[in-house]
Amino acid sequence: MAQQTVTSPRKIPVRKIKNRRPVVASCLFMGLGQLLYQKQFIKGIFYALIELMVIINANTFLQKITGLITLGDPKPELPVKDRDHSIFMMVEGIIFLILFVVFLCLYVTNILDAHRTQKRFERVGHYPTQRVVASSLADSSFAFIGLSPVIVLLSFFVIIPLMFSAMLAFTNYASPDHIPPANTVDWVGFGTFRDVFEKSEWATGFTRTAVWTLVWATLATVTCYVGGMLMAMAMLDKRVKAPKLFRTIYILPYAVPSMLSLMVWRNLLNGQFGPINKILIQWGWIDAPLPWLTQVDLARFSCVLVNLWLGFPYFMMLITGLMTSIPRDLYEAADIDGANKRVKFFRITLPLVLYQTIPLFIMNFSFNLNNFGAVYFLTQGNPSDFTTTQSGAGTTDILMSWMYKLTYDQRVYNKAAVVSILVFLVIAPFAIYNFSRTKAFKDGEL
Amino acid sequence: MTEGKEKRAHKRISISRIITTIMLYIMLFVIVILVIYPLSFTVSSAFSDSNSLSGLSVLPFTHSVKVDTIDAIALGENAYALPDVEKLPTDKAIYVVIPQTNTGSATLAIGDNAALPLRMKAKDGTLSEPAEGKLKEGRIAGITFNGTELVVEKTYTNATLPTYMAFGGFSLIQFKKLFEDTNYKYWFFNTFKIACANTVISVLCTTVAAYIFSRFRFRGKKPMLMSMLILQMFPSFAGMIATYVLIWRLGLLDNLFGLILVYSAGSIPYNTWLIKGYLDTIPRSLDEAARVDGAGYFRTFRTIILPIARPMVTFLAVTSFTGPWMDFILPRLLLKSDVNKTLAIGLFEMINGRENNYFTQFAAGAVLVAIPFIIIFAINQQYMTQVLSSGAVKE
Repeated sequence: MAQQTVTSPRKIPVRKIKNRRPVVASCLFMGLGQLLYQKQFIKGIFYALIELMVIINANTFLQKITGLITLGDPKPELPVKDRDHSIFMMVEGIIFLILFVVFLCLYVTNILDAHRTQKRFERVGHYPTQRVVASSLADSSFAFIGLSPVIVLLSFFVIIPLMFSAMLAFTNYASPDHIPPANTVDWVGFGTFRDVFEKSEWATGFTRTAVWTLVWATLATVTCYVGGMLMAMAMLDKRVKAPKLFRTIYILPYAVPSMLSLMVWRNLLNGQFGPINKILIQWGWIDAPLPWLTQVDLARFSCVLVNLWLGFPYFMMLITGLMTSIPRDLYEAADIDGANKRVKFFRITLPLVLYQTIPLFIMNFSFNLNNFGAVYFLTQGNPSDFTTTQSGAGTTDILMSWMYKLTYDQRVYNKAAVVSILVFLVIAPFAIYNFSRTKAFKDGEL
Repeated sequence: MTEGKEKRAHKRISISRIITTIMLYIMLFVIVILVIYPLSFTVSSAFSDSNSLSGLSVLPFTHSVKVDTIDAIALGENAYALPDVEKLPTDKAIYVVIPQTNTGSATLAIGDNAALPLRMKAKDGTLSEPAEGKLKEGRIAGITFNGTELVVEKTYTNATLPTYMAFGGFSLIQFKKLFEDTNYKYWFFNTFKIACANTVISVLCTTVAAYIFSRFRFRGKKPMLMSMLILQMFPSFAGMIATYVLIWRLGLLDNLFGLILVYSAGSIPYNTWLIKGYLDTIPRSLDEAARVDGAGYFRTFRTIILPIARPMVTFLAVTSFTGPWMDFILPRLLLKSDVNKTLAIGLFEMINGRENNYFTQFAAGAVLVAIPFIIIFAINQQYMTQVLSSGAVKE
């Protein structure tokens, strides 16, 4: 049986065109082919204008992009105002690099457009009139105009910052020696990475913070989950009168903005003046005030406890909803088979709830990995220990809050960028997992 | 006959049931107290007239008494001049005489006679009836007076017990101070402006973009959607420094507009996906019918799609509105002068490093913010269940 080659539905067999000249002309200069041969004045002028603008500004392009590579030279003889500002050069270099890439894309579009028009000409026999072109452009302009603010905002405030931050990890932009405009910043390749991993205080600080981040995320998620489940079970118990009232009260920690609650807790747990200590002493439970937030282990314990206070309502609501949606027939069938309450819970309720909440558990885990507020507002990373002077990482710091302190307090931007890259590498698998579970991806439709 | 037997069988199990029910209720009530205590403490601090944390009573809504100056530390019941702290005896009772603003003085017993309750000593020397509060003995290592009250170092005693006397009433002085001494009203309006602007820009840009992604086919659609998905994976402040530099370059530092731009841009990837998913469930036949009737794209969008998508768009609007209120990192980075700050920054700096002295002001500010939040939360909750259960969102 003859094998028939199956062409995938996307590939349209490219027919060669006979007259190559318009395409070649467009290769040489944007819009040339359209203007000279194809009588496509609108498109031709549009493309030509773009090329003209780039050529006029070619000097700027060159200057900015080389600025990106050299990052300026130290010019100590000039006053500070006039020296090369390495970071501005870097940002501008990135912007112009992106503009250049866009220009190249437009160039390729221009060539393809000439090719397409030529092919159509050879099939149909004439070039489309400008009126037809104008109306089809007007039709598709809605999409373009509608998307343009989004594209501009995204590329400026999301894409460029990400590229910039990734690049910063390969420079030495840090206080005190390399802050422009007084000083310049240079590319150091993997030097900063090596510093973070090899220099002893940085390395210890980093490992300690990374380990604590993982431990913290696990503890926080597990405690909130178990706490939420216990509360959900308690709420659903038939013996509880007015469960709605209880539920409304228990939701309060979730309703109040977490930042405010954390700051309140910070004051409640204050070692000297906090009311919690005052109460415990008054009741005679302890003799001296407990250093809730100033002793290392107790501070970590407080972080987990306060996060439990903040987080259990979310899981409680979730699990309550799930438990009530389990169809009653399962329980009735179990009753017929003679199951008692414990068996019903462990064999029916628990497995179903667990199965459905695993994705949320993982999402909560990755949220807690990044949970800047829960640590920073409560303890600000303190108490500090011997590695803190060099690395800036306190004993309750997680990677995120450490990064913030590096950036804002210590101004060691390149190390902060390194940490952020590492954090991203850790988070990425979770994010990919989350995304792969969304319906849109599973259905394959985009 | 059998009914009687069942009733008896029922009664036999009930004792353990009663015990577990009681334990259950105890646990529930304990958790209620744990949940409510921080909130009620904050609310009561907002209405108290004491400035510092140490001057606040432990129980919410008991009035704390301000102590102006300390008169003397008395040994026995006669007032002496302030002695050296080191020379204070640790085996005898010590009375600390603290003058009150209104009626007289309160004495505090520390040490041996710790069982002596707190009593008031009037100006003519008569002792009052003992007030509430049990004292605890302890060793005194040092007593300092910080202008508001007595603080005993190294050992904790109830040296601050005078604050437990309830004299009733509450004051709004913290709120007054909040609006007079700090720039709270600027912070509030800044945040309000940012939230509104963010909502408007977000909703406009995102709904139009989502509509285009949902209804149109054009070259580069798939790469753009994929890249949006990938972009939303990045943590929001991976680009912190870069955003700062960009805004700096644009000259928008310390300007609310820069912050608004960054917020709007950051929320685009996720929100576009959300709305696009929702719009995908609206059948295309509606669009086509509109086109047949001669409507252009924008007209269709405005008059047909938007009303159907209203629940989702409202949800997006509410989320965009409530998001910037409590955001901390970005405003801290981009806004410098006190007048331009947002609520989160202002409140944070009130208690950061000055934990003791401004807690009540902070509590007042927090109460003012939290109440609208809780209301919006309650409304949004009902709305969200409506949206999710209406079946138009499949996730």
